[in-house]
Formats: sequence, structure tokens, C-alpha cells
Amino acid sequence: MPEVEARIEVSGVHKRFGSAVALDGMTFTVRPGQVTGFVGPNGAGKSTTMRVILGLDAADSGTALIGGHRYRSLHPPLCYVGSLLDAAALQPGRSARNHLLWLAYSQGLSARRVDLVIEQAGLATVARRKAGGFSLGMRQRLGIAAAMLGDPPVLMFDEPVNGLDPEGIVWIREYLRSLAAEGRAVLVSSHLMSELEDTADRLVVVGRGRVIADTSVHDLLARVSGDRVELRTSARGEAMRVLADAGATVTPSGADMVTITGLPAERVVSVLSRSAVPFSEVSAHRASLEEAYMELTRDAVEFRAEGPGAPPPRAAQGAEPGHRNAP
Amino acid sequence: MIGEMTPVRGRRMAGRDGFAQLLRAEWAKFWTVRGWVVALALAAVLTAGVTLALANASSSGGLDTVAAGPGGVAVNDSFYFVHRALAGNGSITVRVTSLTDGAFPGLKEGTVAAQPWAKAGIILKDGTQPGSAYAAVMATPGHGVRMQYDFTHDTAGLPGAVSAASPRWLRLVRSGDTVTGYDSADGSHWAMIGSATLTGLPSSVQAGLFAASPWISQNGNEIVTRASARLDDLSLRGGWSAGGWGQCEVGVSYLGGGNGGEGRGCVRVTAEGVRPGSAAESGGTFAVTGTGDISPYVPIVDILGGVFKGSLAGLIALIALGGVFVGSEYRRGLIRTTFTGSPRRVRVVLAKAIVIGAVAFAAGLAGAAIALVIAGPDLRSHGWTSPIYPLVSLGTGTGLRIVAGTAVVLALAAIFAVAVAVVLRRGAGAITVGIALFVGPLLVAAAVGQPAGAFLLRVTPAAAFAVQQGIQHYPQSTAVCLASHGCYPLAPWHGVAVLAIWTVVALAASCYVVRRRDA
Repeated sequence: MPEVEARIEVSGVHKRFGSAVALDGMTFTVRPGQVTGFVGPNGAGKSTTMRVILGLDAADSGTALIGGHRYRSLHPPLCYVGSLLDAAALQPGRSARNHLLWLAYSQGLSARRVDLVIEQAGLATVARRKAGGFSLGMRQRLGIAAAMLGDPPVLMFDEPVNGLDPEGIVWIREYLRSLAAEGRAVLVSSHLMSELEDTADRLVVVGRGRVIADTSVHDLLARVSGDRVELRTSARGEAMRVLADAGATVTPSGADMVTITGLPAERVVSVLSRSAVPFSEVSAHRASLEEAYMELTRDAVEFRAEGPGAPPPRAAQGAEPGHRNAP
Repeated sequence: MIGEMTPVRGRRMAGRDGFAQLLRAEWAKFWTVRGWVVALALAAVLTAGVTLALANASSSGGLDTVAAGPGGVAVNDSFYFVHRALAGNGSITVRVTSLTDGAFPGLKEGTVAAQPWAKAGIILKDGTQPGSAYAAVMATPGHGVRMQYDFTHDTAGLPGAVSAASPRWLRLVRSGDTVTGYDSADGSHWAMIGSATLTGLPSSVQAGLFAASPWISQNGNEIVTRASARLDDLSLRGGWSAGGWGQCEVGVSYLGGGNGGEGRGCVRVTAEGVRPGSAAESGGTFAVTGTGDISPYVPIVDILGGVFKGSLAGLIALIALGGVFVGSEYRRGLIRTTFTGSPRRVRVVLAKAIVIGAVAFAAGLAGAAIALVIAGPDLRSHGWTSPIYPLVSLGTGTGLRIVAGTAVVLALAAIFAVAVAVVLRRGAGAITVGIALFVGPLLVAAAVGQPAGAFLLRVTPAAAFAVQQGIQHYPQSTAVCLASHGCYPLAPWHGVAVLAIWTVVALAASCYVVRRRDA
């Protein structure tokens, strides 16, 4: 029997729902030992991609493989891939433990494994309560427990931070990092870059059913826009001249304010000091990931809108067709 | 944090996703929702409770007095008998040259066509008391020559009607307990129709010629019909008594206005103006006229089948259970979790069907068994008595068939709901379809009557209620069959087969769509 590596490979997946294009050549790889952030606006195709990986939706073309295998060929599947698509997908009258119990039975796993994941997810005290009474945060924990039932090398979570309280957010970030540290391949989607900023090692930024950027967090920041420095000075003209001579791009941004790009803050200070230009304040601004993300997705939308035969914007911005119960 | 299991670079595939663990998972889904377990128990309680309520509310309103045949079965046994004693072995042979039939003038008015089951021929009988054992070979207007014995047995001989141009020769041969029937179209080439073993037949029997014609119900009136036959070429062998022929009405009933044999034995009627049966002999040719029937007595009301309609309540509860069991997964999105755990979806559908079918069967079996055990004596106390309505217990074939059949029908109905819910992805839709297909035909059939109603009860899932029939129907008995009285056009298990076909088709459709459709 073949070895199943902790890796997701999505390549060239196209998927239409009627006339709406949901996935348009989706291609990326989720590597072991990393948390891969899967980010894009609502309707970008994140959930559809996950459903295609899990064999729930059939791709029109392209492949989505788990360590080289189709999901269908994994036996038992939950021991290879754990997933949380929709935390609300629960029978309200069934207890949390019983929900995990039938799922465990379907994989040939024992009740002992159920009790273990309940403990890990911090649900021990509510395990025998009906899931219908759970808060969204508790449902997310239950969904994560379900994903961990088979102790799988590959994990996928769709918007797991949704509805969590601050304590829960901290918990899940640490949990995701620990899963990656164990060598698992972890794919986490979000429509908010800020949720992934401190968690993801890599980012797959998607819009309109295709990948806009597939990069590390560090590279993404560097690629979008360099750092800038804000300078307050009573000698604005003099300051702009010496900084321009030093190779910076300088623009006035107020009566005594100058914005400098292309020169780090410490170089700005040393250039001004060497030329004896007075200044009262120097502040370095890092471009935020959120800004980078906004810029990327905006560009993608503009590019797409110009392309021939592009679908109406609604297809990308509206709710994803065929996906009910979207949080 | 994850601790004890393997920190992972990859994993080697092992094990197989056995169907047994899928069944276990679906079973766990079922019992972990209290509402569903309650619904299941309710289905059993409703099946028993409504059936018993119907039994308790029923009243026979007085039954016909009928004779009991061999084995206690209710029978019609009235005819005109031209008889003579036969001691030991022997035979009787006769030619039938005509058989005519019509309404009986002088008793009731009305014009009727010939009754297909009017009959005239030769009979050998254990005395002249109604209900006693017999074997007979006869001509009929609609069903050719028949050999019949002990009321419930009927074998076809030569086809076609009798006329002077196309007569029929009939022969009965007694040898010990065995009576064998023959027929011939020319008097020289004989064919055996069948033979009857009449256990305990005394040495001396009454045998001879007979004629009878069943009464019919037309526009609410009962019309007395009669058959007239001409028979000649009579030949007797063996120990026939000397002293010529006697004649009488067996099971005479028309004088009292009743409609069944009233057990009056052999009566020679001489009342003025009322000469229903008669016989005369002239030059070796016998003219015999008679009314009545020799057949199983099939009552119009099938009370047991009627009260078991109470299982409809349980059936509806189980259809709801089957629909909700699947529909709730679609409604909550839980079906994706299920298919993520078990990507082979057809197996998931089959596992659901098996689990729901099994629990529905158990509920149906318990409910129907309790209903039968209590309803049997209850019906007897409400006037539904032997021999027309023998006590049906779990120990009888009929009782076992009703109880097991009800359980099978309930199980198939629940599985049907599961399949439809998968196709529609809605529980409510499946419940609506299920109830419409089971209850609808019963209501429509009651409203439109025959033959459209009978058609519906042959082709819809409601045909399966035939398995609850408490009355046995025979081709040779001319009974009215009304669904409102618990009668169904199909034989018991044939009705179940119709439902099984519906269920299999629905399951096949659900497996087809669930494979092709995005989850």
C-alpha cells in the first residue's frame, strides 16, 4: 500500500455552478509542517476548493490530491484528512460525545479516541450536553475535535476563528501552530487576513476562483509596498533635498511633514544628522498585511474585469453558489 | 498536545472501510437522538393502539348463519340434490346436454345473466347435511368442467360451455377414501381431472345429480338465481341402493329469506307457489333445477384486515422517522460530514436504509403482534365469531402472515421514505410523498370504487395492505371485494411485492443521484 504524505496538491481545478464560475484553475500546494493560510474575499472559492479536495463536489477539470491520492481512495479517510467545513452542521438533539461517537464508528475508531479529542478540545465538561445548545465557539471546538478524531496528517479548517471569543482565538492559533509543528499539513481559510497574520507560515491568496498570490507572509509584505518613514521637520525643503540625494523617494505630506520611501528610518536619521537638518520626529510605518491583501485582491478584480468573457462581479463577490450554511 | 498518536510526516494506508462499521455508525446516529427513539416506540404503540381501538369500536351486527365445512371453514352448501345411497366402492357416469341459468321467477324479481359459477353435475357426499365432505364433477356456464371437493378445492377440466351439440360426460369413481373425477367430450375418451382424498368418508354415502346457482347482489337487492340442467346416459356401478332416487333441497335457505345455507339438512319442499328446486326423470333424461352454491363462504367484511388498517398510524410515524433521519442531515449540512467520513455514498444510503428498515420492522412486529393477540379475542366478543370469522392467533398461518407482513410493510415504507428523502434532500418532502402514496390510494379507492379503485390498489404502495387480509379469497367464490371492507385485489404477498418494487426503485434512484450530485 502506498505511503500517504502530509501534503495537499490542488492543480488546475475548474468548477462551475450553472453559469457561475466558482473555481477557475485553482492551483496551490499545502506542505507538511506548515500552516497555510487560505485567504480571499467571500465567494473567492475557498470553501468550494475544500469541498473538491474532500470529494464532496466534483471538479469539472483538474485534480486535488492528498499526498498523491484522491480523497475517495483513502481508507479510512478521517485518519488521513481531518476537516471542519461548517461548525453548525450538527444534529441539535445529539450530544457532543455522541456526535463524535458515530463519526468514530464510521472510521472503525474506538470510543477511547473520542474521549481523547474531547479532552484536547476542552469540551470535557459539556461532552454529554446536546450540541443544539452550544455557542458558536463551542461548536467550532467540537468541529475541531471531529477533525482530530483520526489523528490525521492533513487538516483543513474553513473559517475556524469565526465566532470564537478572544480566549478561543488565542487557543486555536496555538493549536494550529502546534499541529504544524508536529509535521502536519494544515490549511486554514479566512476572509480576514488579520486572523491569519500571526498563524500562517504561508499564504495562498485567492480571488474569483484562482490564486492571486502564493507566498510567505514575509515576502508578501515586501512585495506589495516597501516600508515608509514619516518625518516632522521645520526645514522641509532642506530635508527633502538631502534625502533625495541619498536615494529616497520624498513627498511632502503636510506643512512640516514629509513621507519617505526607499530608505529605512535609521538611514533617514543618519543622513539628516550628517547634513545638520533639524527634525523633531521620525516614525517608521510598516505596511500591514491587511493593506497588502486589499491591494492584491483589488488588482485581481480589476484585471479580471477587463478580461474577455469575464463573469459579472457578482459571481465573485456574492455568496458562493451551492454552499449553504455559510457562516 | 496531540501527544500519544504518531506525529506525522505521512501515513500508510491500512485497514478497510467495512460496511459493518458504516452500519454501526448509522445505528449510533439513530439511537443517540432521543426524539427518534421516542418516535419509533410511538410507531409501535400507534400500530397496536389504533388497531385495538378499531377492534373495540367494531360490531358485527349479527352474522349470517352458515354451515361449517371440513376443517371448520365457513361454507355455502345449498343445492338441489337427486340422490341415492352408495355403499362401498362404485362409480357414477352421466352426460350433461344443457345448462341454463337465470333469475328465479316467483321468488324475487330481476333479470340477470347466467352466473359463471352456476353448476350442475354429479356429487358424492357424506350424507345430506350441509357442510359435510363431498367430491363433485360439474359443468359451469363460465368456467368449463370442474372437479371440486370439500369447498376449498377446485380443479379445471374440459373448457367451454355445455350444449346439445357439445355435451360433456362426467364421472366420479369412489375407491376407499379416494374419489377421482373424469370428464369426456365424447363418452369414450376420458381424462382424469383430479382426485380427492376424503379422510374418514363412511362406507355409505349419498351420491347422484345436483344443480345450484349462486345468488347475486344487484343494486342492493339480493337476487335468487337458478340453474337448470338436462342430464342423461346415466350409468351406475358398485353398491348402489335399490329403490330409486330421492330428491331434496340441501341447506334450504330461501324460505327464511336468509342468504346462506341455514343447515336445515335435506328438505323436500312442497309449499305452494314456491318451487325453487325440482327434478324429473323421463325416459332416462333428468331435468334438475336448483339454487344456492357449494363453495367457501367469503364474507363481505374482512374485519381483521379492516382493524389492522390501524397500523397506518404506525406507518405514518415510521415514514416520518425515515424522512427526518435523512432530511435532518441535509438540513443541517451534516450530510457533508457523513460523506467526508464515508465517501462511498451509495453504501451510506444503503446503511441508512438497513438501519431504519430494521428498527421499523422491530416496531411493526411488536405493535402488530400485540394488536393481534389482544384484538383476536376482542373481535370475538364483538360478535365476529366462527365459522365465518375464526379466531386468528399468532399460532395460525394467517396470524403469522398478518403480523410479519405488517412489520415488513412498515419497514419497506420507512426505507421508501429514506430513499425519497435522499432524492429530494428534504425530510418533509419525503414524508408528504410517502403519506400520499400510502394513504392516498386508500382514500381514492374508497371514493371512486371499482374498477379504478382496484387498479390503484394493485399498482401503488398501498397494495401492500393486502398482506393484512384476514379472509381468504377463492377464485370459485363470488364475493364482493371492497378496500373499505378490508379486501384487496392482490394476494397478500403479491401486494407486498408491489411495495418492494417501489422501494427498490426509489433506492436505486437515490443511489443514482447521490453518486452524481455534489454533496
